Amino acid sequence: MKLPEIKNKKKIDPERFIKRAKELKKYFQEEKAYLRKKELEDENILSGRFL
Amino acid sequence: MKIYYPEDFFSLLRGKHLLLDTNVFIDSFNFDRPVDYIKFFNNLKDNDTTLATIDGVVLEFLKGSKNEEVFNRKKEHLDDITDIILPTQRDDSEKIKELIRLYQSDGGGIEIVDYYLGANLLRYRKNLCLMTRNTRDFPQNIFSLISTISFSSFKTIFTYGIYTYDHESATTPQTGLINPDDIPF
Repeated sequence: MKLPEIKNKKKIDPERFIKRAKELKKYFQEEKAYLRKKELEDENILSGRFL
Repeated sequence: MKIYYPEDFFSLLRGKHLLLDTNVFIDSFNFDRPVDYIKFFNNLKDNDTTLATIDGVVLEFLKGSKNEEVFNRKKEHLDDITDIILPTQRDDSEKIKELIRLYQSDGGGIEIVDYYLGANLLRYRKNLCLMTRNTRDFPQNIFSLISTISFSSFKTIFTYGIYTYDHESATTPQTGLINPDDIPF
């Protein structure tokens, strides 16, 4: 099977990429913190601490 | 703050499609110097390497977005980097079953997205390579490691493997890599 050929690949605009990277870094940290909080809640429920 | 890669890194990938794993997209904004990733991606595009990913990676990257704005930012990030998103194929399941047989017991802990990445490597052989930091789930008894690349900053080093499912590539000399048997101690 042949892979589709892409002519004229678009280059990345550094300014736009860096601006967005800062925002994404912040969102990613928030997502990780949220998941960690949920994990801790689940661990507490499973260990019966909230019963 | 440098990017380390073997001399033949770009020539190995010239004219090929490079499949990017989710960790590459995350690292490209999480690294201290995103500008290093911009240079790297643009160099690959100049090198006639097509930056690709699969639907499964897109979904893995987008999941957990707390609102529409975050979802859109992530989508823009993917669209900026990739030249093409390879769609799910009708025979993916068959390819994955082939991989499950090859992984044997080690396959139990492999994420389903990694199976889909592997299925694409099986399908396109030497024309498609995978770049991933998840080196544990792409063992060299199944896939061929054809190169490596490391991004280093003052506090982090991210090292990726470049894999293919083309066993002829396994015998390709890897310029710049040291064979442990050659170390004199």
